[in-house]
Amino acid sequence: MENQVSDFVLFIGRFHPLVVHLPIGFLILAVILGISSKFETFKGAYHLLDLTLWLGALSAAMACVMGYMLSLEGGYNTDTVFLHQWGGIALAILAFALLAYRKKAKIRPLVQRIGFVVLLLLLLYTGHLGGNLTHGSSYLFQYAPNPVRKMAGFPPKINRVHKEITHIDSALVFEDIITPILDARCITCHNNDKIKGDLLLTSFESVMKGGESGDAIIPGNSAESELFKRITLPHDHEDFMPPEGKAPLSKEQIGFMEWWIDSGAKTNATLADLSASGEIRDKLEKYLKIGKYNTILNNPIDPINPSVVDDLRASGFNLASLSENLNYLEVSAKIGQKISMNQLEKLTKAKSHIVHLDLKNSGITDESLTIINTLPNLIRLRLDQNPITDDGIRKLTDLSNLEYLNLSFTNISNASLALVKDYKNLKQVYHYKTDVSGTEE
Amino acid sequence: MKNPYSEHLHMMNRRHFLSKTSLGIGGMALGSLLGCSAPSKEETLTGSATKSLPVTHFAPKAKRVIYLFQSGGPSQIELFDYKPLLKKMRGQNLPESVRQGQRLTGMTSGQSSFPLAPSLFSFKQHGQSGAWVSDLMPHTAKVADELCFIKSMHTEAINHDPAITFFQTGSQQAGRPSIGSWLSYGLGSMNENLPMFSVLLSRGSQRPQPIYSRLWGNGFLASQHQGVQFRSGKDRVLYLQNPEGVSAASRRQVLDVLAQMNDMRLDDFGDPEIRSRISQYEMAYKMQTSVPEVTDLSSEPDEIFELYGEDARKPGTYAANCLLARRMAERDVKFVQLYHMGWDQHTDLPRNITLQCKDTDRASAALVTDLKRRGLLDDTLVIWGGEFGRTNFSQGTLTDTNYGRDHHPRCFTIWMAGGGIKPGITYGETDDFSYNITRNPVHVHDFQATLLHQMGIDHERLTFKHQGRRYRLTDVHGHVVKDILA
Repeated sequence: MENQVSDFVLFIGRFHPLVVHLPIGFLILAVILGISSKFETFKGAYHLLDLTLWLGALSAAMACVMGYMLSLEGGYNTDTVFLHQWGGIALAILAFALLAYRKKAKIRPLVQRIGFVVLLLLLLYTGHLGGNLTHGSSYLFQYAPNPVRKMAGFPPKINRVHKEITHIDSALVFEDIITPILDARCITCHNNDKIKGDLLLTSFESVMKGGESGDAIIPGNSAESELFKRITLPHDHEDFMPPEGKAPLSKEQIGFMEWWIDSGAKTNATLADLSASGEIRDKLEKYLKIGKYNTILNNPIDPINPSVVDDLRASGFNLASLSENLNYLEVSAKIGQKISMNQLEKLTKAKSHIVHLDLKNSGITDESLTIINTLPNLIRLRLDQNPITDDGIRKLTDLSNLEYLNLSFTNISNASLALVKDYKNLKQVYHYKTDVSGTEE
Repeated sequence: MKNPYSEHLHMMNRRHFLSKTSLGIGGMALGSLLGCSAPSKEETLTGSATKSLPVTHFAPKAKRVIYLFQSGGPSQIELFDYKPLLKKMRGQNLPESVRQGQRLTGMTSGQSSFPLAPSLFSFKQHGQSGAWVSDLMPHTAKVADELCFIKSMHTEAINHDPAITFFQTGSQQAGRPSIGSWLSYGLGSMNENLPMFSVLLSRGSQRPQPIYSRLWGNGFLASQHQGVQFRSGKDRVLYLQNPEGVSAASRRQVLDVLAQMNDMRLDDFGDPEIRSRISQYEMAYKMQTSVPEVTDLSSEPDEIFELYGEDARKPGTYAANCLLARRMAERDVKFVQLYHMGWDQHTDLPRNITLQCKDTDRASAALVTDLKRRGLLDDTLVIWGGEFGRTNFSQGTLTDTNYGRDHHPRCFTIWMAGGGIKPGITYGETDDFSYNITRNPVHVHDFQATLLHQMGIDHERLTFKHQGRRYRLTDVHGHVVKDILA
């Protein structure tokens, strides 16, 4: 049916969402003028009523025609379109009727006022339906508080973020990974009210059912799956999805889609079932923020007190914020500076803030590691080129977030390596030129 | 019209403030670019703003860069970009469907034919990543799993000077600040005793294209951001040591008085270059002790010279410079720019590239290995690459044992290691002729954007206003190559 409508009609139709704002503005102004005429102060503006009503009525009629043209494109929920269409037509007729009534010699203010109230209600109702058609019926109340949602007849919010996935292997691929991507990127045009291309992406069943261009998903074959083809086209291609102006899927989201389709597009499979491994697993862990990825930096922290910064600087340290959005600190001993116990003690004033600490070649000893052990958020720690032994490392018992530890050019031995083995986040330990025997690195 | 005098005073105050902060102008300048309001006079007086911290746009993955610039344009076809088809089509003319009107330099534009020349050297896959590396680079091949090969680099220039200038400053025309200067301006220094932007030069046995000092120039940035060249002679940095008969104490005295006088002049005149000069004198004074220390290789054990090669004992060689670069990285010098000249093999390529690889292969790989075992590769970005690639056809006559290659901007290979770059991958592809890119092209500006990104800087936001408009290293271009980030 789409093919029978000329492009020109569709072209004009696309202006409906633009033009439709004119009657909304004019008619609301007309209502305000009409009703407020009762008050002395607004008398002065009353003579504008006829003009605004005329403009409102004409633009409403224009919007009706364009709206009809747009509806010829298809892809909208037919029930909603029906109500919206006739609501719009009724609105235009009512506006003209009010004009005609005002031409009468004798106007009864009560009738006129009732007319305006009905006009307003009809305007709100029709406008709301139009919004639902464009953005989807769940758009308006998506972020509303649950009581408001309940009143509007929506189920309480499903907060996917709060559904903790404790272990990566138990994550459900479709529900925990694919659905959120569809929700974020596709669902505004492929929902129950607006079913572009006859494709509904709200549930597993509907996704698998596909749309008018065929199967959206062909299990095991991403290359032939229409949905996957569309999201991977060049961005300026006519068929690229999501269409121009809407945020495209990120590379990693596309990667997850591809992997899910190629592994059979199953509904209830967990990551363990699909034996996700290697790179995809790493990426998923990062994406879902679970597993071995340190979560400290996800917790916001207030900026450090400036007096502490001064104090630490005076004690021989360089300081920097981790980035403009992260108030965590990177602290290093100034080059060539020997750091005493007293100076090191100062670090505890910023103990929650310090995540990177560089104490290379600063003359620190085993004793001072007791102080370092009180910095719970350390992720990177450089202790290289210092006279440290295994006794010192024994004092480092609480640094569970540590990912990088440099012990090169110290006097540690294999005993230290055994000690730090228990750190669950530790990925890199360096012990070049130490008493560690066996392989270097 | 504004009163030029009050405008001048205002400018002076701001600059004054920026240069007086202890964190380096860069950190503060960046801070103000990040949307913090420009510091007012009041803040200067109370000193409250000095408490602010240096800030980067992102948490940096790399703290330092060692850029091993291979000047002259190393041939991708002999080194990394394995193309068996060239062997099959040896001697045939380069098809016009492949060349597609590519402009040529004056050195080959007069040639009547463009005979395809395969590499005389064989290739093998190396490491777990299976990267193709030619037999010319046995040591680099051994560290292949640490490297990220980008085979799809391309540039806009076809001659050395514009091409190198483009790589280093983001513009083919001279006069813009070099990458190291931008980093100095943006990040400041973590080492008060050594220049944060250091430059080391070496050359191969072939008579090379020259390198100009403006490549490490500060352009329109304050002059303290320019690179400092380290030499191989007795004076590692020129004019640094006291002349005979001048004691350290008297030099200090002179500098103190000079600083006072410069301060007075600065108060009167407000030229920020005076402030630059004061800081340069101070830096030079500190370098009188720090430079001999960092350049003294006598404390390096023999095994280091085994690793880097015996050449490393000879100041001024590529190997010695690589070792020096490592020593600088250990002291948190942010940007070490090496240049090794002599890759411009228009003729006698097989012989010359062999010599060139002998000079560089071992030390490049050694640097990666050495940084890695010390735990420094993690946050040190090492880059190896030239300004363009070389043509797949022979410049001059193609014989069984000899050929040359002209400049080729459309594709060439570089590698990166460490500093938050994915190790053990090959990114981008070229066609079977190693002439055009078929997948994931990386433009010079993309490379620069990626480098800045790893240092924690958004290349679109590190700007400097000059002659009425804001300038960036990447001008109005560049995309971070996210695919190669770890």
